[in-house]
Amino acid sequence: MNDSLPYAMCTFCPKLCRHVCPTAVATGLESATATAMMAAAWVAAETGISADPEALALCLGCGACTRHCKHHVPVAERLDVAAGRPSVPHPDATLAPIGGPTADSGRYTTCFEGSVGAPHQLACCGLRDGFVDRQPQAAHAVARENVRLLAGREVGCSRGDCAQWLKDHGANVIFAPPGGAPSRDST
Amino acid sequence: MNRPLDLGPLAACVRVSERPAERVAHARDLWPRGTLKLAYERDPGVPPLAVAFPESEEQVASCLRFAAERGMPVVPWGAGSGVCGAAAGRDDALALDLKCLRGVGKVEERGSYGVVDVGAGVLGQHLEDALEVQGWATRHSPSSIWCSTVGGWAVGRSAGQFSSRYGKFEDMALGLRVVGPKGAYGTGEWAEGEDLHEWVLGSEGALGVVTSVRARVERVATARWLRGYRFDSVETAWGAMRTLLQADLRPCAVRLYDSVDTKLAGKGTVGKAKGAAKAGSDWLASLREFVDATPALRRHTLSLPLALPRLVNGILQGLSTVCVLIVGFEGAADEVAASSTAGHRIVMDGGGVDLGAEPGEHWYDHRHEVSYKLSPVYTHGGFADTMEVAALWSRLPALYAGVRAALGRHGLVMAHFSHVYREGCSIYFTFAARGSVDVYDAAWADALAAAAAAGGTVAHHHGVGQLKQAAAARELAGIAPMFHALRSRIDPDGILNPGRIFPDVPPGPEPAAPDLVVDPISRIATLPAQEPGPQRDARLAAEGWRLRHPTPGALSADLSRVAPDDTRVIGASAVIDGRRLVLLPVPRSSAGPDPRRVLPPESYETLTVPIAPVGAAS
Repeated sequence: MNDSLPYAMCTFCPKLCRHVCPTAVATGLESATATAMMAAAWVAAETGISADPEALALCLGCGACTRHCKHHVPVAERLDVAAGRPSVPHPDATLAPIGGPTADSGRYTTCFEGSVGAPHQLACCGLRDGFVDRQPQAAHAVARENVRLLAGREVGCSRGDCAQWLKDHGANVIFAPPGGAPSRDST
Repeated sequence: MNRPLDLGPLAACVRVSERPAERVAHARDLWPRGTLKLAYERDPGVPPLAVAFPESEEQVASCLRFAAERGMPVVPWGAGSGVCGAAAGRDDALALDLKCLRGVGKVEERGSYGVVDVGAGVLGQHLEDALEVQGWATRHSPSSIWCSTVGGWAVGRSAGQFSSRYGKFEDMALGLRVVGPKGAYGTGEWAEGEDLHEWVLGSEGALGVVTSVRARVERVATARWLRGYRFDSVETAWGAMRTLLQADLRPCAVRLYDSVDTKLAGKGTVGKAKGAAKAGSDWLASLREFVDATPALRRHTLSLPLALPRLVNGILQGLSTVCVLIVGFEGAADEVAASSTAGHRIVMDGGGVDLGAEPGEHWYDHRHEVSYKLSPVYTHGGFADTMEVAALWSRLPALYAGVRAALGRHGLVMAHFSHVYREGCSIYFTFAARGSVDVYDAAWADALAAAAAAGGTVAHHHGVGQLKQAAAARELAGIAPMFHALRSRIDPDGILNPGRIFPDVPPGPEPAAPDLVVDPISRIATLPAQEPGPQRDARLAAEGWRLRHPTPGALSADLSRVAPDDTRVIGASAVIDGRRLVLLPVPRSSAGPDPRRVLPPESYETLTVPIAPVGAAS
């Protein structure tokens, strides 16, 4: 791929990965879709005008979009490049959908719909260790949404850094170990 | 609007953003004209002044009050996946992003089906995931299911890949909650008093903001049967498809790819299946494999058609007329076994050559991936778009030939036929050309004119937006005064997505009353709406026909719904306020609201209704 091709591939894609992006789903922000962020980077590359850093800041680097994409565009990596920040390897190995869906099903983000009677929707964001440090703004946006949307619900959680962050920030959430019954140790 | 916008009163009760990145992200939807301008003119579109993210019906109402007090247009936005420009930004507007209207309820069983209440902002795939764990599914499966919302499906009269069994989304939407500037109201099962259901479906935000939907859902199928067939021509295949539908076997999928689509798109779908390569020329399949294996050639496989579309059209259309049909049945095991056996026989008797299960199964497994082909077209200097039209079976050949010729003057064109009804069929044209707005506009102008000339509807399931507003207004000219009167009542300040669907256009000459005819190919008849039942039935019987849905009285007395995949009314003419309006007979349309069933009963002059041969079971 040449330098701008990955950005173009996303810019002209009809947002086929938006439903697996934790940030886009949790926040509802259109600017959080991979398409919007990559388009901002593509316009910057094409015009020579620097992209608004804020426009590239909402990627957690979880790699869900890349795994879902038939073209496997490395979105997180290219956004790091566009934003001029150090590129961190995708924390793919740390992705752990909880409570039923498989890692490649992309369903772990549906937890944000807060639906009734859907065990896998009781999973949290599906992300485990590491993402809070990577993109605090986006991570916290997701976490805030979790707290707000899932408060009082039984939430499957791996007790990773993000889970701790949720608890530290006053989440009244019931955490559950993967595959196990919820433990009612909400804070 | 030149003065600074004080969002304070709105921000006090609704999450709202003025961030440039957020506004730019709402500047354009997926109308390819906007994408073209971005790609080749570096024009990002027109960002709205601000974006609000209401999370409840009350917050939507707050947004509309805020906007109405300031005379500020409001552009509702689901996931922005519309391809006709209905949700594109405007520089004086408040964008209302509805994705935070969330929530999928518990399915309520109603015998053979269920209903579920869903927030309008729920993405399609998330709805299906939530239903699946309850043992249900909408079976509404548009190729945009990953990137479109339930509310968008309703206001655009969306269609999914299993429409021949389950209907379009307007057939599944049983109730809507809608918020307008003067208050909230319900439609369908949620209506209190006046029911505007058929007006809001297809209104693209002009009659209020849909906040939640009550949808019909189906039990998850326990059996599925898929098969591919080769035909010598689309005309032969149409005959088999028509017979299949008119035999009431209720297939879940009927998809015919024309010869060009079979050759080209088959590469990524049916073409990989064992046996399906035979659907095109063997040498073409070999050439394709050679090109695929040769990077230097592969780079030009898109560039050449974009540069010389007429030549490539001519070559591809001249090579072979062979095409591929995919047929599917699903449901309970015994029903699937019986209907697939009967259906297979019909298709084989109709000239099909059995290609086995694999083409159908391959399509099924990859049915949402077609849009991945879009980006490479742009990165090769072109654009691609799709046009979905529909017509009665009797008008389908003229529609296919007319629109294909019109688009073929500007780009590479192929088609498939994938929304199939007893009375007719839609055609889904895909066309690609070099990246120029002039080429784009010329192609659409010619194609829309050709569709209208052939007696087809200009929109089957993509809606109207900006792209088709003039063509749709011409098609539905008769209902424009009623629509505008309704709109003025709901939205006196005209803030709801103004300037999009149904612009005020001068009424043309009053149309003539439709001829009273029987169309045996489409199995419909246009009949006097007020004629007494016995007289009408005797006249039909004399020609060997009867009503598909018998009624003892005048036709206008009972226009109620029948089933998601069946309808009582195909077309109509009526006299309202002394002026005749004619609603085109088509199986389904998304050229705006579709009030053909809900006009005042006494106003109907003629009705075009389904018929069946005397002696045949319904």
